[in-house]
Amino acid sequence: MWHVDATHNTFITTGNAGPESTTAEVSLFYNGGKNKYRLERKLSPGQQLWLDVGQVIHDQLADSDGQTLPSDTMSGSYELRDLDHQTVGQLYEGKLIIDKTYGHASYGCGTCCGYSVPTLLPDPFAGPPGIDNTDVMQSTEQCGGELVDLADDAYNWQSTNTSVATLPTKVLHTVANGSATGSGEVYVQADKPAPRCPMAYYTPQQPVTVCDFTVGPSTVYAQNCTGQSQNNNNFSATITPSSCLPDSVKSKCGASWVSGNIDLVGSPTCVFNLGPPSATVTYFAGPKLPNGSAGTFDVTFDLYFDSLKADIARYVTATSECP
Amino acid sequence: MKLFDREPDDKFAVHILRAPMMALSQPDQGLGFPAGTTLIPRIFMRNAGAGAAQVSLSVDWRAENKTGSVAPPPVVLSPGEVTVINLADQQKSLQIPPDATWGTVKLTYSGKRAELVAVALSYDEDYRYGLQTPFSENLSHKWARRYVACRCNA
Repeated sequence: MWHVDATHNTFITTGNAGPESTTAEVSLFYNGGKNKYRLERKLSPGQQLWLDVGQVIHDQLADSDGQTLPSDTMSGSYELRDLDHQTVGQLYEGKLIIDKTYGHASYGCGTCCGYSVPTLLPDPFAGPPGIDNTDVMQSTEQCGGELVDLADDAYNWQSTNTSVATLPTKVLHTVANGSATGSGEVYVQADKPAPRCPMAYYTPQQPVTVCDFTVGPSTVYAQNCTGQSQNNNNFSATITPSSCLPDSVKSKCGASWVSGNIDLVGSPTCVFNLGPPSATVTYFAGPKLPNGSAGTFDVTFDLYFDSLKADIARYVTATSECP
Repeated sequence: MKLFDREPDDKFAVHILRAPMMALSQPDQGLGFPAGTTLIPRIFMRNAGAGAAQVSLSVDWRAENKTGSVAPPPVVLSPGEVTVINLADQQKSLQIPPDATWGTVKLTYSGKRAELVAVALSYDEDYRYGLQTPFSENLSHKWARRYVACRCNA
């Protein structure tokens, strides 16, 4: 903490120990942490930012946002941030509180703020083919407990099966049904063992499932093409991979006329909770066309996958062959 | 209390220790010491390793309106040897200006972590007024200090 009153003063410093310039930010929190005084400064390698908090208050020096610390402010917590280096910081720090009554000074030490082991989100990922998803490499910063996204600092992105999904950057692209594992690597300051914040490589992984299905058959055989009595034909959806299960309540099926002498009767009877999704289509057929069929119709399955939180619609145009 | 943690399986590496707030001979007015107080800034170093250690030293000093840097000759310490470097000598010889109030001391050595035990302190000759500065080799993207006691590690 920092402490300034008639008998105390506080100095805070931070310096750039890295090989390149960086932007350092000092934040002094006050009013129970509700307000902050924020000083931002570009530091060349070796350069140091120095803050005499007593002078800041006494002289009402404005911060980088034009704010001043109220003159009756006496204590609070503080933070130092390297704004240009989120994962591998270059800043060292020092703080000194002086008790002018007895001439004592006590050095404090800030705690470095490492990151917990990150996870690649969504974990697991499941989606239909042909979509892009921006992944999040989520970690918890140990000082404030904030969730941070390290994906922009990650590299070596890859997928174990690029015919299913690619992950060349943090954007995951689904290609075709199947399973894969995505991963990215990041080099950060770890949160253990505290308070050292040693550098660590992390490679979080993301199971990826791309769900898809086909509808069949494309040729069915009418029981008659007299146009006088109903025909029934069964259709089904073949889902891959088999771990993709459709929601039996939210999924739908339907049929629609395409060509020829087909007269659909009502809506198909859909079954989603017994094995593969199936639909029974009822229709009148006939008279027979010169090609031997009665005509064609579409059968559509609109399957909702809870794992995807999305639905996929696929259909088949079925030809009804006459006896 | 300052602790120096050593780990048996620690690897040899170049270590850079920094003491970023060492008071120099002329105390900053913000310290509130009585007028005329003169500090004696000294760096104690002990080689706690099994072999000789060469320690490079640099001091980035700051006065009210100027900054600069000096690098005294490296020091070689035998195992167990203790030495004291008096920065007041640097100020007397004008390598560091007499009106410089603060210094950031940087010590570099090769070896295992915490093999070099270093403390920087600046007290007047009666040890009535003064400061003791911890060294640390930690760098970070973020530092925070809340309302809790702290434990400083090398």
